[in-house]
Amino acid sequence: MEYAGELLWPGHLGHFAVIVSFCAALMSTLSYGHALNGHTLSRGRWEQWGRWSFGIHSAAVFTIIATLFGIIYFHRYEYHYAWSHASKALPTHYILSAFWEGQEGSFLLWIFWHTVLGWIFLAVSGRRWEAGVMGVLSLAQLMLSSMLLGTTLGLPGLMEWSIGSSPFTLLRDTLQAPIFNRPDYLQWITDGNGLNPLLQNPWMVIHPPVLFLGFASCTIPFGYAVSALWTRRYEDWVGPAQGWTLVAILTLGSGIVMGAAWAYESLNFGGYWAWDPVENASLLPWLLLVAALHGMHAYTKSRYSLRSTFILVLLGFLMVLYATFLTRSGILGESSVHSFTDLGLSGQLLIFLGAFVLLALILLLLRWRAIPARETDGEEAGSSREFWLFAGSMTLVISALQILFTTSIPVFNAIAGSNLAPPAEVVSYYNRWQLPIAVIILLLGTVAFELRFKKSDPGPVLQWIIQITLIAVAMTLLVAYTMGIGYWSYILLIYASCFALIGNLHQLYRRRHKIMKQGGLTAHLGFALMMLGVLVSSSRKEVVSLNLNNTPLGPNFSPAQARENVLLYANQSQSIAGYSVRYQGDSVVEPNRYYKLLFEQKDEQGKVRFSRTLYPNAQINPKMGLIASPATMHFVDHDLYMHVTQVPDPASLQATTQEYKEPVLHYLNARGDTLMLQEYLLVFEGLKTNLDSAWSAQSSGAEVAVGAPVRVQRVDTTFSLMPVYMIRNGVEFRYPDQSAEPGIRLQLQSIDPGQQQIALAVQTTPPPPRPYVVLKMLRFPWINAVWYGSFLLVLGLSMSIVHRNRQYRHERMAD
Amino acid sequence: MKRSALYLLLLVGTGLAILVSTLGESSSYVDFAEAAANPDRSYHVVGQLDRGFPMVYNPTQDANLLRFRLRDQQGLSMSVVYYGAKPQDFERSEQVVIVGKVVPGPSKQENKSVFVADQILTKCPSKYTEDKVPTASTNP
Repeated sequence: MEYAGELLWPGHLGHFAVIVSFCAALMSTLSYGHALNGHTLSRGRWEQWGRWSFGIHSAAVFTIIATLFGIIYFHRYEYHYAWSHASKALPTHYILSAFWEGQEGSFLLWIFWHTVLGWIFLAVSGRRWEAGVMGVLSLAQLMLSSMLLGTTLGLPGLMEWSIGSSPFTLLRDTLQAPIFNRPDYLQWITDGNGLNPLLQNPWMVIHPPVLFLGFASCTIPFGYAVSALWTRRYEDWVGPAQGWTLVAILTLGSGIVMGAAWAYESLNFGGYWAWDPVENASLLPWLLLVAALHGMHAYTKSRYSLRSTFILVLLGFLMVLYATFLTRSGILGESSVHSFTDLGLSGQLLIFLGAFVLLALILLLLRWRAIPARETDGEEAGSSREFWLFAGSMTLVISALQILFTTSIPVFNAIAGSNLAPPAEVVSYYNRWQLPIAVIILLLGTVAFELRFKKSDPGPVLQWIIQITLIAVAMTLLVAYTMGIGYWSYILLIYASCFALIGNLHQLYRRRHKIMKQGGLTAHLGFALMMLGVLVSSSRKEVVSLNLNNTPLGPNFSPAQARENVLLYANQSQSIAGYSVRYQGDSVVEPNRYYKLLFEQKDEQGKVRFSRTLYPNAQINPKMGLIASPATMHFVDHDLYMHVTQVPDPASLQATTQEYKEPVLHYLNARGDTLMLQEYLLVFEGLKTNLDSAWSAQSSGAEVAVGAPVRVQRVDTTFSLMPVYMIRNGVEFRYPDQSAEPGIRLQLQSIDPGQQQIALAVQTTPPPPRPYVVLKMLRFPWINAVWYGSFLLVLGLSMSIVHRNRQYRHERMAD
Repeated sequence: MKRSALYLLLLVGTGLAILVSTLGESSSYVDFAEAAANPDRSYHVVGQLDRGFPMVYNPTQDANLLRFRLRDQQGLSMSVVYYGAKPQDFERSEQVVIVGKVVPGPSKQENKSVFVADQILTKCPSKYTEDKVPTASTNP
């Protein structure tokens, strides 16, 4: 069938480019492989082949990206990828997010960074390690571009394997629907499915590229290690690989921190870190590479721990692959908040992981005995810096192991067919393990700077430790006391953080003349500050909207199930966390609805001394329901964080026709008598016999003309009503009175003049719907320490890279 | 060699300790029958919303009370109480995981007990990319 309106050439071009990129990556891998094995003579030629193939591969990759981007940008909804990730209303900068929302797009992002890093490597790091590193990079590109192939191999009908998932698949080839029987189907497909509203967020534009740059950077140190093992040059790879390891740690770390900031600033997870499997998966390679970096440092300074450095560098990249497998195979299932749909690539991902695991394992086993280990003379023991570096590395490994095991529970289940679930209190479970590890790392990392390589004199070191400890203890007591932290393991972590803060500051002060070279110290200082912030902000995190509505607690209520959400009616003040909070209505900026909350504090005279308006927002998405985004009040020492958890459907707030209910008779006996009726308070103000002139027409000639003024109070308003009763020519007349808006209607039914008693027929309408929000509000003390700490960590790593680069150029000049 | 053997031993020991603690602490996915048999233990129960019963969440009366019935994978349906706001997109979820324990009713009658959930995780596998194309009859 001929379909009308389809633009097919971009799809063909894109698909062709995928095949070219795959073949060129294969070519490049083989060429570099040959170069790795070849003699010096043929090596140069093979390397040239490899470079050329990598060039073709890169061109193909850029073509794929440009084509896919064009398809999304120009809304070509005949392509499934554009249709399922974008829509016409999407602003341009979110086209980028739409690009990498899907699995194929995020693979492309990774591939893109590999090519960029490949060229930077070729430009910066020279020829010495080219064959091995570029070979590994090409192999990774081969695996990654196979994920985009979208072809079927094998014997049709007998054994078929579908390889990869192409981003250029047509909508009509992906979905089954009767509409595709029409040649003009495309004119009915007016808009795409759109980008997941959770991802329509500036962070989604910046976080994935940085994270994938981090993942991609882990490949290069791995390439160095493989190359070193393969070519039996066990020692001089460490220097150049160290710089690349720093890059990987910096970029991956930044990606992780950005993810945390995103979660905190615009998702309603109620925090920046939740030990979610996907977060853990990105933390694992980072921890291992940090461990590797310290091993490398120990090795370059004193020929120590080379074997473990090999293992750690190799594991770092393997963890990237494992993380990829975990998050993209769908195996995490219900244990993660990040939803990843299974594209049926699990098998391929396993091959990807398995191939590199085998490569690393076989090389390690073959070369293990040959890797030089330093001759230990039995002296290097406890007082050398390299020993402490090594111990720190191992502690990081233990940290990674714990995260790895617990995150892998779904994998154990898949392998063993068991039925384990993650620990019920998963966050406290992780914290219980990771807290002592953090303590050890902080202490080791601080003291290590006071130690010398090879051997230190323990006397002065001990003296230094004691001095720092004294200050740290004082600071710890101060922090614990002011923050009200009494739990001993928390105090221990505060102590370790303070010790590290003061110790590192002191070391920085001592080395202030060479401050630009102190990347390591700066990073350690940042880590200490971050840990202090993490401990205080998470242990003293407080739900301030707790149990505020005085709702009756159910029979099964336990204190653990405190009621964390507060109901706020429009224009009604509620005191929360020392503020008077008033919900003042909402405004709509498509697609979000902003709830205006006024926060005020008054002094004793009732004068407003603090006033701020916040706009937590939510999207009432037809496909996903309520998606709330928090608003945060930032202060120096704490944040006040809130998001709506429930809002009425705007349609339900439209005033429906207000029918008065059946009248009910009430008797009021005397002036000042009151009557409570639903949300009304009625006060009878006594009978009025001399009606004013407004009534003169009706009351002229009447035997009896009496009014019953009633003051009516409601939460938000007070008004007066006066039903009137008359007898004219022996006939009773009743003039009811009612509130301006539908609400309450009073009729004076009868009067007992002797007793001043009246019978009042009261009719009410059901109360009008009132706008409300249900709000959850948290207080994070010292959260800024987390961000400043991460900033210092990133700064320190950047300083180290600059320093390392300068040193490296120096060395090359000297060669 | 001796020293590295020591490290290895230490590492393996810690690894084992982590493994044991992971296995010991891990909760398990069970059905209501098993959760009811051990009312003091916290469990994960996987199931689907029992749509034969109304879900009760009335924020103007109590913003922190959600009641619904969940049908576990064995087909047994039980009422569940959650003292919190209704999770986003709850009605639409295809699968619900509740974490908590069974609280027996005051009269010890089997059918009076409820599951008190501390956490609710909803799973909507095809969350946003619902592959639904318009049909020619519903669109212009």
